[in-house]
Amino acid sequence: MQRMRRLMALAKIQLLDFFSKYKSGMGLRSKKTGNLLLYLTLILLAIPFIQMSVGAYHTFLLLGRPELAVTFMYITTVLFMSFTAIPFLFSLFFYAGDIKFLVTLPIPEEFIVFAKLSTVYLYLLVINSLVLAPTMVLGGINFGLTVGSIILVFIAWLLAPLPPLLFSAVVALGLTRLAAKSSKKNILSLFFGFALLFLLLGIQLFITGESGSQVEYWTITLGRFFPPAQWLARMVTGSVKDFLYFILLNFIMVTGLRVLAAKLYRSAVLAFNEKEVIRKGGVYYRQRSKTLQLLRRNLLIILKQPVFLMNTLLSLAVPCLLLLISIITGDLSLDTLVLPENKGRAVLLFVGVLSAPALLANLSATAITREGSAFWETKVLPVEPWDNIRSRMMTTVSINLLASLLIGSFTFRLLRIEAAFLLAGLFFVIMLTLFLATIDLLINLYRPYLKWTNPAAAIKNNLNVLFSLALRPLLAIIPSFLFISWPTLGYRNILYLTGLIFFVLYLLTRKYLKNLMIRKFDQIIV
Amino acid sequence: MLVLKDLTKSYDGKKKAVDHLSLTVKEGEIFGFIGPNGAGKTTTIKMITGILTPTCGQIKIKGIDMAQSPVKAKMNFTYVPDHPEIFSSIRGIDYLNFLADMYEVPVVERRDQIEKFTKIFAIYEELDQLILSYSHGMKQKLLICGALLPNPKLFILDEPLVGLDPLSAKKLKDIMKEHCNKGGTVFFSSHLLEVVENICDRIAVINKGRLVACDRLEKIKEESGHTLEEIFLELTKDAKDA
Repeated sequence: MQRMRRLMALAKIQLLDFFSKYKSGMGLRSKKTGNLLLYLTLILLAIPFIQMSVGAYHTFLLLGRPELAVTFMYITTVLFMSFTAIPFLFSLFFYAGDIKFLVTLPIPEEFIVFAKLSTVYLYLLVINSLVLAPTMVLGGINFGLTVGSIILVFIAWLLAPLPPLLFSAVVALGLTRLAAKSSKKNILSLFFGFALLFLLLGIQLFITGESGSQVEYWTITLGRFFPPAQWLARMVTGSVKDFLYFILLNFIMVTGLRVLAAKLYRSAVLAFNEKEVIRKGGVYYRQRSKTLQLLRRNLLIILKQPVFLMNTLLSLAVPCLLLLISIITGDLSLDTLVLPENKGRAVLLFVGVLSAPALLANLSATAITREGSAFWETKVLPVEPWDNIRSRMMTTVSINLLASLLIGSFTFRLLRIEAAFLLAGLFFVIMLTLFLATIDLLINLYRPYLKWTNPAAAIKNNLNVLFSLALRPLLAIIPSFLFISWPTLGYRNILYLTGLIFFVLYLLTRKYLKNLMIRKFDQIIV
Repeated sequence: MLVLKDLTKSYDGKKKAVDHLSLTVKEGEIFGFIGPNGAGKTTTIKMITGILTPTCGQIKIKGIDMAQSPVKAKMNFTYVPDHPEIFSSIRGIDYLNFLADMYEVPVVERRDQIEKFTKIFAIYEELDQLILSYSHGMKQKLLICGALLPNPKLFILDEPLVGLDPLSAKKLKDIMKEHCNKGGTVFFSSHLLEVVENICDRIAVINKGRLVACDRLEKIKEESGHTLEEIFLELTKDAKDA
């Protein structure tokens, strides 16, 4: 009982810490307008997930197999949750500031593991509510709601995140244990993030690309390999037997993790936190310009912090992976795309892929936040605030444009894009990148949030990222408006015209940034 | 060298962390800034260095107004904070070269300065290591070396002796004295009264954001007939009672 009380106290403090940091990370204030904006943004972002869930249910309903919708969505959710949980666990276990304090407390090591998992559980529960719960509710209604089935759906909702969470914990701790002594441990976390993303995108594209009967066949097959998805589906229909199976599975997994936790924790977390002496090169004395030094510093902040690096690379890699998987799975036929009648579609695809780094890697939205407690350094230095702000913008522009060029050089040949369209596409992307790098920085200047204790909090719990992403769909209004108003303009001219509009927007934002936001920058409290 | 005029800082618009603080630090002196915990020492230093914007008041460094020409003013001082929280995924030598570029120190001069100070503080051999592998004391020494590197006219330190071993603390005190003998100025905060007593030309005592004493130490002691510790305790009595 005493032990349980200590575990509860530890979990409570972790959750309080998590909510307090989450709230401050989100920048929530008592102002009604601020909260309204937050809820609106969250609703906007939740809609596509709920639509996906409802859409999947209707697909299986049309096939006459609504019960398979839960199986399919649970498999998808498990992958989605694992993809989210593993990097989050890496951040919580290996880069959180409180781990050195926690290890000194007179508590068993598995308590620390379980207390940390409680915060990840909440994260996954939100994902579960958006991705799986709508299908479960619709399924429950379809099979006739009874008090028993409502209770079972509710329990299923609560329990669904546990298997992926426990699996992710073993994977994250186990892999780190293997790599704890290696200097390549950060690469491991990167590799795993990529592998999971590839898996997630691949399975989703594969299933959506297949015909109805194939989807049914694959869901049944995958369900056989992953019985919890079938149990969960039958729980929604009111099956107590499957509920017991699901409970038993969770019990076994929790017991397994309890046995493994202490051992894994000791060998992984503590070894990971051991300081290692890394000597590189020698002592040198070289002069560089202030601009170059500031740019280098901002780049290194991303490149040297594995969580920041992984997040950036994953954001940049998504379009490439999507394209690659679409080609591999045959969802995208290159032979058809290069036909003259599909030229427009190929150009749109090319520009879309080229723009993806600027649209997805919203680095400027956390450019100041990423510095955390070291932000004071740049404020003390004899550097103009504008140079300080500009160096952050240029960091985002350099990374995003480099990614766009790399992706562009690959897709340009693949899609056999004409030189004239290539130039128009590049012009559009450069202007879009400049505008987004500037407007995102504006968001970060309004909401600097420097007091984070683990890097995931800086870039994931941060409402800046959501605000910045919410802005993206609005930008589509410009080319759509041009296309509808002047259908004869053609893709190339629309690209040039939209690029020009983005350039004007960039100049206006930059002017505002330069004139008014410098004061805001100076007033950031460190 | 440093003039603070009616310097005030309020974080919430009500309570003043620093309340109409005015003082002058002359060229060539070591100026000690003391006060109990939460008195406003770090807030004052953060305003002087540009980390915080004052609610009102004026800061002049070598006659340059910090609000009007912050970059020009900043070229005249360097700063060592109480917590060595710096971007630590780079090597010690990268950090020092970064600072040298910011303060426009030529290559030859930076080589001499880096070698001199890092050898004094015994971290020269560790300059090619990542800062994140440094101990607290080593980081503190690196920050001190970085701050001394541009040979600043004004050297500002917030609790500089915390985390330093006795030998390094002694070396820092010697460097502070030497810096002033060469015409430089040192402004530092400390809780260590014996250090303040030993090396400062003048001291200022701050309590609840207000300046409660500012003069030559001998004069304050002579007038009151007490030791620095007794004077400090008397001046900050209400802080303890609160």
